[in-house]
Amino acid sequence: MNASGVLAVDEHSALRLVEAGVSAVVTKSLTLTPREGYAPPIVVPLEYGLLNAVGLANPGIDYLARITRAVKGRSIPVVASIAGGSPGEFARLAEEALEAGVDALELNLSCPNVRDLGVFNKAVHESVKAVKSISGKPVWAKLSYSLNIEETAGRALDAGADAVVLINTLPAMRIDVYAGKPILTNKSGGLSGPAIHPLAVYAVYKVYREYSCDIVGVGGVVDWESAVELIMAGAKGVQIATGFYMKGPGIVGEVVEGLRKFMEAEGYKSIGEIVGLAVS
Amino acid sequence: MSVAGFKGSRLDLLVKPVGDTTRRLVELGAGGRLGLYGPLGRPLIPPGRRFLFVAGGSGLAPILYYLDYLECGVRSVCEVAVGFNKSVEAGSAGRLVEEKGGRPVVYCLDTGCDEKGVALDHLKRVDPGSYDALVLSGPSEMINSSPRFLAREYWGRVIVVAEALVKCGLGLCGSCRLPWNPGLYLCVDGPGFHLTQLLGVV
Repeated sequence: MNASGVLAVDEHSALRLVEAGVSAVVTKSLTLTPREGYAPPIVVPLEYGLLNAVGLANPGIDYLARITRAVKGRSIPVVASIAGGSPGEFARLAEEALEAGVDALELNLSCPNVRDLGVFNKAVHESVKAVKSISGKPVWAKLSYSLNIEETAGRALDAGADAVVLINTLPAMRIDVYAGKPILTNKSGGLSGPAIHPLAVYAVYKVYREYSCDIVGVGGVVDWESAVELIMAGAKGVQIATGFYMKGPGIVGEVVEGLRKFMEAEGYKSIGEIVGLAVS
Repeated sequence: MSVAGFKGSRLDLLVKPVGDTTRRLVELGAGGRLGLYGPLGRPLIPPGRRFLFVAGGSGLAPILYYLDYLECGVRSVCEVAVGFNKSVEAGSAGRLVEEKGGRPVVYCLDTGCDEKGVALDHLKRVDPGSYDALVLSGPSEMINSSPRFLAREYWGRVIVVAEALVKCGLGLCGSCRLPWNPGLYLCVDGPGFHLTQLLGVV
C-alpha cells in the first residue's frame, strides 16, 4: 500500500497508485472541512528521506466518494485516512467515510504538523472506541514512535482497533544556516524515509512482541529488504511513502518482485511464515 | 517559476511583482541570497527549425530560454508574439526577444505596442502550417482560449508551457495538478505538455 500523504488526494492521483500496483489505496488524511495546508516551502528533500509539513492539505471528507468510486472501479480496496481533533470528530469522519463505501479506516492519531488536530496518547482509546462503535469495517490506528509505544498501541487495541499502523513521521527540523531560519514555513515537519526505518522496525518489533497483533509497518521502505525487515519484526502489511519519491512508482513492483525472489531463495512458502520471525 | 536563461553560473528569472515572493525578488540587490529548489519537471523540446512562440505576459520567461536553447537567429527561425494588458507593462520585452535571436511582435490591449489585441490574435494572422511547432506560454485563461484561435488540424503541433502553484515539487501533494487534465502534475510531468495531451484528444 501507499502510506497516507502520498498522492491519493483526488481520484486522478489515486489512480496513479493503482497503476503503480498497490494492493490498496490509502487516502490522504481527510478532515471534516477542506484544508489549504501551509504555504511553501512544505518539503525538504534529504539524502536520507523527506522532511515535510504539508499541513494536512486535503479536499475534505465530502470528496472521498469520488476517490472511492474511481479506485474501487478498478477492484482495488480503499482505506480512508481520517484526521480529527477529538473522538467525536473521528466518529463523524468515520460515518462519512463508511457512507462513501471505503473498505477500512485508518485513524491519523499522530500527525506532527498540525496543532489543532491529533489526539495523541490520552484520547487514543476514546477515539478508536468512538469509531469502532459505528464501524463494521476494520479500524486501524496510526501511531507515532515513542518510548512507550507499547502502551499507546495497547490503548488502541483495547479500544478494539483491528490493527495498528507503525509508524507515522517523526517531528524534526532543518535550519537554513544562511537565512538563519528553519527551512519549512511551519518551522518543524515530519521526518520520513530511510532515516526513520530502524525506529519503524523497532516499534513494530516491540508492539508485536507485546501483543502479537495485526500491524501495518511503514517507515523507510525503499526496497524489498526494508519491507522484509518490517515483516520479520511483525508487520502483516507494508506501506510506502518516501520510497515513491526516491524511486518512483516502479518501487511497488520492485518490492513485490524482490520479496518473491527472497522467499523463493530462502524456501519460504508464504508471507505468514516470516511475519514476526525475528521476534523472540 | 520558469527559467528565462541559464548559462554558466548565471540563472535568469523574469517575474512580474504581484505577490510576496515576486516583490521580494525584485527588491533583492547584488549580494542578496536566494534559496532555490530545482530544476523541476522534464524538458520538452519542439521539433524542427521554424517556430512560433505565443506568450502572455510573464509567460515570456520560458520562451526566452527556448530562444537560447534552439539557437534562434542562427540555427532556427523564431517568431515571438507576446501580449500584455497595457503597453507600459511590455517594458523591454521586444528587446529581450531580439537579443535572443527571435523576431518579436508585441501586442497590447491599449495603444503603444506593435499591434492592438491579445497575443493569441497572432495565430489568425499567420499560416500555422508554416511552422514546425507552436509554443504557447501563459496563464490558464490564455491556454483555455487557444483552441478557438487555431484550426484543429494544427493542434498536434502545439506545445503548452503551463503554469500552476507548485508546493512540494515532488509529485506527491497534488497542488500543481492541471485544471485541464488533473491526472497531470506540472512539477513532474511538465511544465511543457502537448496541447492534445491537455485536451485529451488524439
